[in-house]
Amino acid sequence: MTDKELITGIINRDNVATQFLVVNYHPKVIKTAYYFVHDMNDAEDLAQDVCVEILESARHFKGMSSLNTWIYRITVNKSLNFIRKNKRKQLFSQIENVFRKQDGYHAIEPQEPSFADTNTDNAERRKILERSINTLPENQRTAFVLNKYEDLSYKEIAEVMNVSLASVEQLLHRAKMNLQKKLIVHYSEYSKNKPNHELRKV
Amino acid sequence: MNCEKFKNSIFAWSENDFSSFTTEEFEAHASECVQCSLLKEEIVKTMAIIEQDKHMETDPYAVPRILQKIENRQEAKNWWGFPVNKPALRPVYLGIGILVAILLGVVMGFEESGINKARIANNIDIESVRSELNVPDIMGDDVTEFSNQ
Repeated sequence: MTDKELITGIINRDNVATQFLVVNYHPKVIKTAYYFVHDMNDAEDLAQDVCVEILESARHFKGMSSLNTWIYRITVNKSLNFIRKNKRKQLFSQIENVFRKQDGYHAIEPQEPSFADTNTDNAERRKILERSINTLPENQRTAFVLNKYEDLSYKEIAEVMNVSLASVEQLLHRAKMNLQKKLIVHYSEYSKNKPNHELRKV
Repeated sequence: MNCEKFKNSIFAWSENDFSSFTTEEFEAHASECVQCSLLKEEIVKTMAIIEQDKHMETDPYAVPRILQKIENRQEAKNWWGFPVNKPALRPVYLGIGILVAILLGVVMGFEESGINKARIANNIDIESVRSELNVPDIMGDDVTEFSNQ
């Protein structure tokens, strides 16, 4: 099924087109959302929202970019909105926890990402990487995730983010520099705190 | 190459974004400095997690689940063809709710005042009013007395 046929089918509420969209694009959307939110349940919910959004706004798709790019754009926007809302929620829950602690209640720690990693060192590294990526500015994070995790070319990233090629290059360069700095700071502190013989084992 | 320059070149080295001369310098420093070498290893292992995540498997049962959810959501969204769940319509619903509450309050207030009036009317002592105004009771004995006079 071509992009045009798929869009026409979705607009006409054709069940075959809907199924084709979900079967072919849903796993990809889950993965992209996961790279941003780092939680499989949240990524699945976001993928569902993305699919509904595509079904509802297919008539607005003008074909100026490829369907793939359009879907990436919706997924990125939904994921970033989710992160923003989550940050606000976390802030409120932190405030709530402060008051609860004052009242003698114990706060429940937030859940760690659900990725099952058998290797504890790798699980630790994953947490460090995810935290470092999360602290990048939104546009740098988007460019980095699309380039490193999704293997999109600079041109494709520029289309998804609606910016120029030069901007993508600059964003990616800054993202890498910032991430490198954050990892160095983290591991330098880690190596200071760890005895030398333990470091060698790593 | 010093430690500072080495640290700032780890990403570039891992992406082969170096000339052969700089690569030699980088690797020479790594073989001399244990701390920098360990740091490089750690960062390379951390970045390798991205490659692992690319091969992540998604739940195969998610597709039928999501198709069902989409169907349910669309059914709930269209109530007699009207998009009841649209977030943009929420202020309208709130406005309608407030208006209905005000109207209910007004209607109940009117009803209450009508009931009070009826209560007041029922409580008037007709006999005392009649005697005060000196009006004969045309339905009672007073009428015959009045006609005989």
